[in-house]
Amino acid sequence: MTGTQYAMAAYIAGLGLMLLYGLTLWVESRAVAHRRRKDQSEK
Amino acid sequence: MIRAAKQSLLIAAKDLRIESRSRQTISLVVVLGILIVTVLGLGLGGQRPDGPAATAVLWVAYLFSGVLCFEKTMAVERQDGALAGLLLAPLDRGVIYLGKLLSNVVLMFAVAGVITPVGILFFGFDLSKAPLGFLAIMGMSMLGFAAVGTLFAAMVSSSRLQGGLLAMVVFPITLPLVIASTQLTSRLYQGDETWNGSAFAVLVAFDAIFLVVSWLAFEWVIEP
Amino acid sequence: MPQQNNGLLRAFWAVTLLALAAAVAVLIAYTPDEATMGPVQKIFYLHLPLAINTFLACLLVFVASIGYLWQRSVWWDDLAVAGAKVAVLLCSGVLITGMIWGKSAWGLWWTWSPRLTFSLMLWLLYVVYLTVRASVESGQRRAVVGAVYGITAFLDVPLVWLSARLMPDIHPSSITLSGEMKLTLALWFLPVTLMTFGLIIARFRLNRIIRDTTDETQRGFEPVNLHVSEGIA
Repeated sequence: MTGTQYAMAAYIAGLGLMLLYGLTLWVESRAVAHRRRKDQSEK
Repeated sequence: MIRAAKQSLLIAAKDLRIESRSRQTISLVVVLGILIVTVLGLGLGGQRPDGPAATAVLWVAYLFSGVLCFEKTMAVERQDGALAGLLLAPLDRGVIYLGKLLSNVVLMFAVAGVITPVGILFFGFDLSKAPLGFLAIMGMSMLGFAAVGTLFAAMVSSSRLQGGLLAMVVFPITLPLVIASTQLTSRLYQGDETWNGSAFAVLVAFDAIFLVVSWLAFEWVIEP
Repeated sequence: MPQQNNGLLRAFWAVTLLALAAAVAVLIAYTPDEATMGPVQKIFYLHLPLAINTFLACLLVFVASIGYLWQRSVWWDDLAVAGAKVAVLLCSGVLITGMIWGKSAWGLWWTWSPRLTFSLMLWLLYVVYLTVRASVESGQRRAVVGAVYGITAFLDVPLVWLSARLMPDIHPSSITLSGEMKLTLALWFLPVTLMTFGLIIARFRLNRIIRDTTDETQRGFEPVNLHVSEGIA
């Protein structure tokens, strides 16, 4: 592998990790909000 | 000041008296330590590791047996609501910490007094180059280790946590001690036989910081 | 959730992603390769901001832990958890980028050089924070355990750093940066820091919402402290 490829791999891994975590948080917060709305409408 | 010292001595004496009558912890821990040294010796395939490797082996034995000691000295208080009584006594919580620390240190030294010769024997580690230096390094590291261990043992024991958790909490925090003491011994026994000043400074700083912090934090974690 | 708040959050993330895109563009088009190490040195512009932000997140855990012991409010506890989770995430980033760099520069994924050792030890400290919390049953007890561990761990960080420096070193300790490189580095701090705080805030808000919902459903028939759901995520 060349230096450029290594650098690209590092950026994809490092930034990907953060973006992926952001994405899971987003999905989770939507799920929680959805559950909450459902709970409230049942009451 | 003197009264506090007397009180913590009293607590330590009580723990050690219980221990000397039952000999529950010490026999368990010593056997565990010897087992660990044996397993590592076999795992290394009968090679004779020199200075730093032998200290690493000893460290593994100390860490695991130390954690067991801390767990046991706090577990004694779990029985018959002894801890509630201790907490109701007109004592500063810091005094209880010092007492527990003292009994832990004494226990650990007793255990190390057996494990170290076994390890040295098995691995053919020649201590004669700087025996006092070795004692000082190990004594300092054990003090720091016990300081952290006593605090977290109190925390873990009053939380009904799963076993083995104490080891997990204490090990990452004590890693600086492991590095500093192995570096010190390797310089002392392998390198130019001089004293590694910065490594020793790490040891001293660790002991000082965590003695004070654990002493202060103890009252938050201890709970009947 | 108020609508206005949501709009603000969206604007924040839009700015962050824009800054990130700009930083990537500058990195590819403008920043020169370092003379001796070549293009692989460009990892540095991500590696260093990640490391600094890891430290900031750890500092946040420390402050929030003190805040909890002082005020005994779960608000601080939720903040500490959010900080620790993001600290572990960032530290993983530091480790991964560092290892890739090491593989390219020395042909080894791992050496016990001071900085790698330090990152690993830091990572372990905060991973243990999360796992220990997850295994304490009672909510209040968990917060106390977390707070005391959070303080102890942070005080351990300088010692970890000093002790890691005792390991033999092969790291490039000083790289002389040209003006363009310094500019790139400064530019990269912006998106990484924004993302760090964005993630911490997002995690924190989610913690608060989950805490509120469980409190609501449990109020009336349960004592306060049972199982607030808490995974590693």
